Amino acid sequence: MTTTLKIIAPGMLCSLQDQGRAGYGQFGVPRSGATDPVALRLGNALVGNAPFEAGIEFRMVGPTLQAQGGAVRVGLACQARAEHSCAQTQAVTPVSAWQSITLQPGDTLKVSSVSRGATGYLTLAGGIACEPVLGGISTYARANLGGLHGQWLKANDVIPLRSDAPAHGCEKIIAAPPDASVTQLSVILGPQADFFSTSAREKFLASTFIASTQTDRMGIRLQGDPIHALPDKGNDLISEGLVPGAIQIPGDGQPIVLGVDCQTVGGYPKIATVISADLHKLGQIQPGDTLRFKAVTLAEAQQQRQALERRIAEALSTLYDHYGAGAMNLKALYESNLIDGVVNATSDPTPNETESCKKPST
Amino acid sequence: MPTTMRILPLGDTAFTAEFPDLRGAESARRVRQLRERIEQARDAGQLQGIIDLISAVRSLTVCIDPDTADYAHIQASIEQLAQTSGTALAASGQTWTLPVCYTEAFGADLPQVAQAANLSVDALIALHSGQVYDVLLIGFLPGFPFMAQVPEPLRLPRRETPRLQVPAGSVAIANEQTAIYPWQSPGGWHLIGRCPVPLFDAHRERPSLLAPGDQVRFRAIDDTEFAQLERALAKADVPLSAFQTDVP
Repeated sequence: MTTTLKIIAPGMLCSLQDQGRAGYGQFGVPRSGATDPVALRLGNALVGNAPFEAGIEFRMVGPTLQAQGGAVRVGLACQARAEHSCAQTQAVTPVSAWQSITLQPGDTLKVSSVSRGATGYLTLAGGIACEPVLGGISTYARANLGGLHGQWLKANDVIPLRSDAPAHGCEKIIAAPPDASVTQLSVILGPQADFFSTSAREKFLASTFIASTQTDRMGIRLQGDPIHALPDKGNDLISEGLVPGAIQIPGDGQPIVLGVDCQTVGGYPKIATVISADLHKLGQIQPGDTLRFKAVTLAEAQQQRQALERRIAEALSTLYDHYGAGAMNLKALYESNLIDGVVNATSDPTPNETESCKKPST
Repeated sequence: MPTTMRILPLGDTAFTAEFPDLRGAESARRVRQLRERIEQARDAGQLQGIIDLISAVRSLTVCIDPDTADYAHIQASIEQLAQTSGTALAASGQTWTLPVCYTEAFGADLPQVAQAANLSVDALIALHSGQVYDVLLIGFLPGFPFMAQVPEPLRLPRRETPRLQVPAGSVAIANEQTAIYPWQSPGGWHLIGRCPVPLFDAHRERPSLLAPGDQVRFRAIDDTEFAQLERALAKADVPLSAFQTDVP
């Protein structure tokens, strides 16, 4: 019997996403993919997957899942708690954020709401056995592409997993995940910066905007002091190519930051474009968040890419073995100097798995 | 004289090469020419790291992979390719004759459009299907073709209130453009008929049936032929090449 995950309750806007499908913009196909690819990467590290293996993306409220046919190791990549219900013992144990947990057949995992940021991921050891479409498993429901039958996940959907998924070794936890709160986005001005007066551009960079309720995978509509294009330029442009991160200014002057599911061409002037190192932040913006934009140069954008990779490496350096609910994570405590001087932590890099991985309750 | 091209930054992983002084067919030709030169250079192993090229009416958006490509180098190379004179277009676009069932059941706005144009429905159909359209670009939705020019009497601004659900296959007009919705989606164009030919299939080598530079004409069909074609296409009994024509 193949191992599957059944969706008991889908949470909110739950879909399968990976790195997305670049290269099909010429056919009108959006990139799609994880709205926060950094969280997806870290989540995949929790379960020993390649960085961009497809996972289950959700917004604000996580799904409830049940393992069927075999054991499944799941990584919870977001600031949310979960409950693991063991089918055999009926025991319910809490699961903390940014940890992996192995579900035995019949076990369920109920993910609560996201307490910080907006988007979370459940990654699955070994990956999902869905056929890639146009180079990716990412779901783009508007055109029925990818995912499970091209659609958002719903109750009773059954996600097929690669049957050779390993579920041995210690559970993992990321002790110091990146902060999901977003207050500033770096941008490169253009392509239509010249549609706006110097004072309008200054206003754009000096203002604080609020993310409206129209915030989803296609884009984020902001509210703030309106930014108006020069009268002789207007807000109509001969349609041209778009990428996620481009910031459109429609006639009402309220910016729209385009997201991963944005259309490939559009006719609003774009005052600026969010740099690639900050695109992952778009996934964590929720309605009501306040945002500012900061103009940077191409060279600074490239430096920020390197800085982002360093932050990811730092987070991954806090990927520790996890000994189950209630057990103290000694190594994390040593390294964060909470038990300073008791043991030399550096001489004990990885506790012996066979001894320390005994599960307390299952 | 080579036409002036300018490069507009679109973040740190894309830029748009625009021909600001050109209009209509001439700009579309220059965009296709630049695209072909870039594709040839890429096929020849140059210009590593270009991951997507999005053609629009007078611009080409170049997307790069910042991990493998040097933004400044790609930009400079493309400026140079645009200046290269000579080389005519290698391949011309394809020509298609697409069947359309123009009825009120399939094109909910048919009576209103006829009224606004002060034409009979038959005259409207004759006008819309009597024209050869240029595919300007593919966008909005996968496989969605923007086509021009709609004959003068049929040019209407978009609907004031967009529909929340336009059925897949709907043939629509707005201003000087006509389009076919490949997917059910919201939409603000006037619906005048339906085309049974699928415009997008992720499993085809070229997923989008149409491409910029193609030419399209419409052939009016009745309900019976629509149903027959729809069934035949669903069973793949009719190859898509059946809708291709050699002479526009």
